[in-house]
Amino acid sequence: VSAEEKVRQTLSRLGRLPVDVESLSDDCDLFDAGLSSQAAVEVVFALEDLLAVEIPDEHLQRDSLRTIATLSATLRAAGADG
Amino acid sequence: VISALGWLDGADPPVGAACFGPRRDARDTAVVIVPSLGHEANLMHDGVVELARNAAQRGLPTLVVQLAGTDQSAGSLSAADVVAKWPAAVALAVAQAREAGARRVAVVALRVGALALPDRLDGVDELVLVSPIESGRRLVRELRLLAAAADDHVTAATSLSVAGHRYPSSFLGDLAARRLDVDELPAGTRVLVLDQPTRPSSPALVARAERNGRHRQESSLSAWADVTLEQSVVPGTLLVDVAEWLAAEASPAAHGGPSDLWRLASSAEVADGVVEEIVEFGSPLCRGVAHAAGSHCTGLVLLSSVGPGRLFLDFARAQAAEGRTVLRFDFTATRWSDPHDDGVGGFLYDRRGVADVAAAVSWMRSQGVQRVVAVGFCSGARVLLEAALTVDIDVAVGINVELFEPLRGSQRSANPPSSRLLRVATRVWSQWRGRRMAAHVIHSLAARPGRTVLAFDAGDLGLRFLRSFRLGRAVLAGRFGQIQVSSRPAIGHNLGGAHADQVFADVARLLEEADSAHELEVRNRA
Repeated sequence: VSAEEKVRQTLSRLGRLPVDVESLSDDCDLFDAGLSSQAAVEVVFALEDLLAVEIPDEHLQRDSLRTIATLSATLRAAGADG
Repeated sequence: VISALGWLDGADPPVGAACFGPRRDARDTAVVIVPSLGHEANLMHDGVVELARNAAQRGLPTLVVQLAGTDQSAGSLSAADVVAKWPAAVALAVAQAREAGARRVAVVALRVGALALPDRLDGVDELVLVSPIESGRRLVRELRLLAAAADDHVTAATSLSVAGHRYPSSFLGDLAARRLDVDELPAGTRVLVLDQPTRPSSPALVARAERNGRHRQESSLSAWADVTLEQSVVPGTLLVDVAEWLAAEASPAAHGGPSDLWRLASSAEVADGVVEEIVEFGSPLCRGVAHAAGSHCTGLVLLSSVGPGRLFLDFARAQAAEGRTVLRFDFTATRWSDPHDDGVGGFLYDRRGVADVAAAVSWMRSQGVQRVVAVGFCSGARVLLEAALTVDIDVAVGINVELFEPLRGSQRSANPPSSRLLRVATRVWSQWRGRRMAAHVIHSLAARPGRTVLAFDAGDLGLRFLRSFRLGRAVLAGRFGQIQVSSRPAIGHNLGGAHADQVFADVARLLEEADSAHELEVRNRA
């Protein structure tokens, strides 16, 4: 399963988005789509636990969390497979 | 239930505390509640008070400790050793209760409160951990994520601002070093752990609770600790469960209640040369903190029903240090003030706050203050402006205020209309309603004898609203002499922006102008 797919599954479970995650493209702005900062915390921590990685503090930035693609890339840079 | 506010006697520097207890028939278990931090403490505050009242109703004397640098305690989060002072305050509250005759002592730590516990919890019979933060490092990462999600410019090296609460990098470093050491919990201490399925506790903590105590997952906890005010519903049944768990081992006490267990001082030197005192006025009782007997003719009233818990504290203490009479208080049914008899209240824009403002101004006048400058924030500012129409307030300052009262959650439709036409009609009606309310306020404020100053962050919704209609634009253009509008960039709605201090510099100037105007008036009269 790719990192993108794991991000999508976690967003579905914890993202509390007002839209179906499947309707979002990999480059869609998650904050514009309704991702709250609190939900973003839960999603990132759940992904870190799931993938057994820790995103370095310097990458905990809005741009890294903004889309499914950037979040997946950030997780991969932190050592996640896929 | 009786309640009192003050500073814990014997704590150096002063530690703020609130005490709750039964009028009679006290039980012998004392409860010490350690609240969370920052925006969480703000959102969970009503729940903390409700928990304390629930425990008190079951006969348990209960003390809520205010950690150094938070609420009304001395110190600041930018002080070098502030985090190190937290465990000592909790230990002092536990020791005082034990020495004064409590047979059992329980500690309830909410979220960040778990990091404030002493390394050795000697003398604690019961420990309740509500959605506990076990790792300071993880908490700091969480704060960084919250800040980053809201702001493009957060970097790893900077201090953080979350919902108006500012955390210096030195504080974050000290916080990151703290952790809840499960292995150090005394074997005899019963432990109740309540956590959320989405934020489970560590296996070690869960195992410890299951060995001597209980572990329970509760999804409604997330609503309590969520970030938006309208979602901060207190899970009432959960609080009752906690109170019952605390009361389970209690027996009738030999002591008389909370005042026998903890000595709360009604005044304290909270900063160099600044002595503050607890004041109570109005009915139901409003509680506030004042620096009385100032030497200036103009006094300052700060309304703090919403916004970060210490929104006005530094400014209040700075003005007090300059010898000004300053009062900051909580509206009835909010924070530490008493609830209304009907049990209803505590919501934003509650018009019953007008009577509280009148009582506060009356208290100021009783202190010999000749002129009153009152400052409110957001919904507190809206109530202040309403009060200024009938109460003698020389200068009313509304920070980031909407000139109308937004619909409350229960009045709002949870489901927007499915028809496009209805959605448009609803929007048009809301705009008409808001502008009509604002027009009434603008004309009334323009007619009152005192000045009104509206201070906005340059991007604030209240300012955008004024720009959206003709009368609002007339106010912005200065066509109403008694109403002045100022806007500054990077203040932030919650005054968490880099230039928030400029608002307070502006208010300081207003205070000096009021002093000068009064002196001129006295000279002219003479």
